[in-house]
Amino acid sequence: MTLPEISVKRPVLTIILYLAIIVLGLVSYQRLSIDLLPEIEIPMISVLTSYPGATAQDIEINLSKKIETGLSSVSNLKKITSTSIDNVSAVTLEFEYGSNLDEAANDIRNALELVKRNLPNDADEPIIFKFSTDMMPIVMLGITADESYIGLNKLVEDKIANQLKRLPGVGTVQNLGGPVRQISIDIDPNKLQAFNLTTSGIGNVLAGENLNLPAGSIKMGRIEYNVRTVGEFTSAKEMGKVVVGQQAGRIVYLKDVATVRDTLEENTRDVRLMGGKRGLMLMIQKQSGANTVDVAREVLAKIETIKNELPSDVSVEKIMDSSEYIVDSISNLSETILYAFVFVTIVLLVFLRKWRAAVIVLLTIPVSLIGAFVYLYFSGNTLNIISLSSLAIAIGMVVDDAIVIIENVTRHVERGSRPREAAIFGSTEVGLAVMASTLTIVAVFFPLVFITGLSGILFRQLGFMVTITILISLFAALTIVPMLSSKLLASRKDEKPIKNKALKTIDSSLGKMLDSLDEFYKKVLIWVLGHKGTTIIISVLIFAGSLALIPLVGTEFMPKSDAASLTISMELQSGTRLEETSALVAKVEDIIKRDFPEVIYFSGRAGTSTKGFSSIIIGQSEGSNIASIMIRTSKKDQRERSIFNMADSFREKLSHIPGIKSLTISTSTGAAMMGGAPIAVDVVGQDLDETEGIANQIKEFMYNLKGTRDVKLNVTDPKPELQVALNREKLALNGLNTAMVANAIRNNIYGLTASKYRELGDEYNIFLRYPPNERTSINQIENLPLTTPMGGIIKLKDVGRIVEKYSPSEVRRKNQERVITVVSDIEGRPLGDVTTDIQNYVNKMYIPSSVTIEYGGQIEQQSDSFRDLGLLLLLSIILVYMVMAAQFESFLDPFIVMFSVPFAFTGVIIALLVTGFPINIMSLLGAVMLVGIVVKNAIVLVDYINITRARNIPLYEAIIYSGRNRLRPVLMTTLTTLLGTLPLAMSKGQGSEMWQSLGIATIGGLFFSSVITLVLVPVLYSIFETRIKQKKEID
Amino acid sequence: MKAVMIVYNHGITEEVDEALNKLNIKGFTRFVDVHGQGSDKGEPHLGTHIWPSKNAVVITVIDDNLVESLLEKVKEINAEAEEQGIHAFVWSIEKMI
Repeated sequence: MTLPEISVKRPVLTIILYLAIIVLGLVSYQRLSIDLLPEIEIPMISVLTSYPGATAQDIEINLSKKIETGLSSVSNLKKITSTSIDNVSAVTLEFEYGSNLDEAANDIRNALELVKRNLPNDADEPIIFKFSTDMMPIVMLGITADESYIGLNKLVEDKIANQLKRLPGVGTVQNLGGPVRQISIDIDPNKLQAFNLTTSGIGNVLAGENLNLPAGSIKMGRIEYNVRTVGEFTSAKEMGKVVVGQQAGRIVYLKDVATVRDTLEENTRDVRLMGGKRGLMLMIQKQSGANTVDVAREVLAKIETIKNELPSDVSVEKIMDSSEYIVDSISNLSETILYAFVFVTIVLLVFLRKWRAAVIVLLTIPVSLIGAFVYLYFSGNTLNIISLSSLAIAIGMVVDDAIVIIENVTRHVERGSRPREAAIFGSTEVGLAVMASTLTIVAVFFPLVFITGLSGILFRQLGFMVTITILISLFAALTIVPMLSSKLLASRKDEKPIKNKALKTIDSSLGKMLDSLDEFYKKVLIWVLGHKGTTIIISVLIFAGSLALIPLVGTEFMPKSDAASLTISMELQSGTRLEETSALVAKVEDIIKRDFPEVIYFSGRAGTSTKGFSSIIIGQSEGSNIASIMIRTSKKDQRERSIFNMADSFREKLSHIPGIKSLTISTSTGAAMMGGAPIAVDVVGQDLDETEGIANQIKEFMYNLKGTRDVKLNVTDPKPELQVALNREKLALNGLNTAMVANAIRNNIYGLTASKYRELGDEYNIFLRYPPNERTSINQIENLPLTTPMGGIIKLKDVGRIVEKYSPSEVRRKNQERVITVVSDIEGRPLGDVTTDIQNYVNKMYIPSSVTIEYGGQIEQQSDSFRDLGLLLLLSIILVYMVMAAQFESFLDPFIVMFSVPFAFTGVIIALLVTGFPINIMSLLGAVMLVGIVVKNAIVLVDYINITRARNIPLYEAIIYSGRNRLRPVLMTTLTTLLGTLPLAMSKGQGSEMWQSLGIATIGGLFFSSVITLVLVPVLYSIFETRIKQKKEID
Repeated sequence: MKAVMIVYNHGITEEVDEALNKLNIKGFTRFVDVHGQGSDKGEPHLGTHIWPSKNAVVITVIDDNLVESLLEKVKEINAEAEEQGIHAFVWSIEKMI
């Protein structure tokens, strides 16, 4: 028994099967998490080693270089880079995408064991650090307050952070820039000298006084008492009354030499919310493996309830919510799938003109799409742009099998069979042909599973999704379609004429329209068969012409997306003090407020964080001269300017502000970020002066090149430094040594945490240092008093001098050689064009043999993925040919069919050129898919001509007859796919950049190749077949 | 006794079954998936890619007086679905065991 027969004879079984797929699918759907892209494990592992006190160059030679050499033999290694800054070395190993990182980490650990022996003794143990996207904060909140500002940190910690940490999936909650209470003791250096005291001495006294100590217990009568010495300070005022020394028989109190203030810590970082409001930022990270959208949703819901418990002057706003863009993108994409469904319905109704038949065909859509969710769930994937785009592409194709089946069944019914039998035999008759054509589609999509690299991770899912959807649709076409046809279709006897007048008119005019279309096509066919030469020449010209247009279409790696957020990073002259940097941020904020009404929320940051360790891995630099402003704007469809226009406008406006040394405006998020900076030109060479010169030359060229933005070198400028050079003889004469002096200087400039002040269970630092106005000149440092062991006081300038110097702040290496990278963003011009210009320039430059130039960033990613996709294209063409050859039992027929493929590319090129989209991995993907989709039309046509000829109809008549007869099915399957992808191409909402070029490429290619197929393939067929016939006759 | 062989497109099996039932003909032999083609008109039924449809054959041995009504039914079916194709052949039975 065949599948259709079983399903017609056991309708209940069929319905149950169908419902089972739908129920399983819906349950899976409900449990699926949402994400932007399939999970991508970033194949990078860093080895961090610190060596306190070493300069960047020491670190490079003693740590980075040795570790690099030791690790260079780790397997699967793609690239090894290192950054050496003062005190810290970070060696980063990059692997191929999809490598097993646990194994790699083990290899690294083993290799490090050997390297360790060669490292300096004082260097700390190397730490292996795996970079992951989980480290990116998923939500950032800005919390501002007026009256409650002083206690804001504690409030946020208790009321918000602790509650959020308890939510499932929340990793860490960190606050940035909040006020930290501190008891500041500002010491007056002159008085200190007058009373012959030292900062460390005062520190010791305070630590000694601030003490509670249990002293055991004593028994008195019937009671046992605990004994405790209570000396802890209960207020800042009390500290002022501490005796710190004696002078001429008089007691010296702390308040005599210092001012005690219960205040806030001095900032090394300035956080400004909404243009200078006081507050803090809360960064929420998810746990590894948790779903961004789920966690963000919970966090934001929790915040809503917490808000009510906060004092009225405290406000909580979203600075950044990475889930918002994901949710919007996914809902926009889901919307396009709905539109696609509507379009497909219309096409089916127009062509079939029988609502029952149309409904039966349409029912295969939900079962195929929903069935794919089962796969997604069990393979641990998420609902993301790729999986949903796959569905949008598949929606037009899943009906194809059902259409062929229902067409044959209807033919039987029209010839007088009863629906039940027509369903069984009509389906069985074409079952094999349907399976073969499904196989061609699978032949294109399944190889996607084999792509490696970054694009492989994206397209593997697409390959699986479409394959599975198409296979389910094949199954549905052979079961549910015959079953429903047997129940729903009316036999010739029972068929009732349409009674409704309007419907009748529509029906008959549609019929006439389609008939005249058939007639028109017949005339076209007769003409082209009479003018074979002309037809072929025109086709060749069109194809060659489109190839000539390729240079006009730009290339890029991935489309840039407008994610409604941008970050402005500014670097001022190296060494600029925080206050200056903050003032500049304020100026930029004024510009935002005045000229950018689209901005909803913005927050500025300047200075360094205390936890700067991770920043060198992410590649961010920190410093008192560095500031960044994060901006969240209204959504893409609610404003006129795109993020990219706004970024350009910022660049223009900020160029008028003096003092900004380098400016980067980053608009990239999600997918685009993975490729790194769009343009990265590595200048590799040992001599830093030489490479820097070349790098600067390239930078200069790129700066003046059209389409580049934010061009800069990725090395930071040397930092100005005041070095205290001590004279050892003079030190010895005074009974001092370097350590003693260094500590004294540190205690006065950086400060000294003497003890902790306790209040209500929280601890605050008691911090001693010179007041700010005593730390403003070299002179003041020179006059710093030092107490000798003999009790005398000398000035710092008596034992040493202060030199102003610049020290290089970092050294970068790539594949064991020093490198300086010129990085740049692009805007308004495709990446490929800009790259070509740069490469041409570099090729003409004089480059010494000791220096090599390499291209990294997205250029590298792009050429890798394009190569992968090119191979894939070749593979699918071969596979499709093989499937067809097997199906036709001929090597010639598939060859004729393959002629429709080049015109798909013609269509892609023309469509991209007209709409102004560059070629990127999404549009290339469209081209690959087209191979499978477009040959389908030609197969239908050639197959039917073969059949007709086998039925003893002469070649010429067979072509005309088959052409006319197969026009409708060809048009119908083409239009369903075309209109199914139309919403993709048209969509304008958040995230649409990703799939728009895919939609445009598919539509262009499909349209062009269908038109050409319908004209060229019959002509080629007639030429080849006539030749063969003649040859046979001669033989 | 006469043998009636009805050759028909498998798409109209139900109609043939009904005809036999109506006339209360119980005994029959059916060959399914048979190939054949007509001498002058109609499509061949060869079960191939070119001519995908197939035939079935029913042979029934009945009383002489039933033959006419059975042929009448076959005619009706043919009138209803001429393109599907149905033929009936009658010959005499000489012996039966």
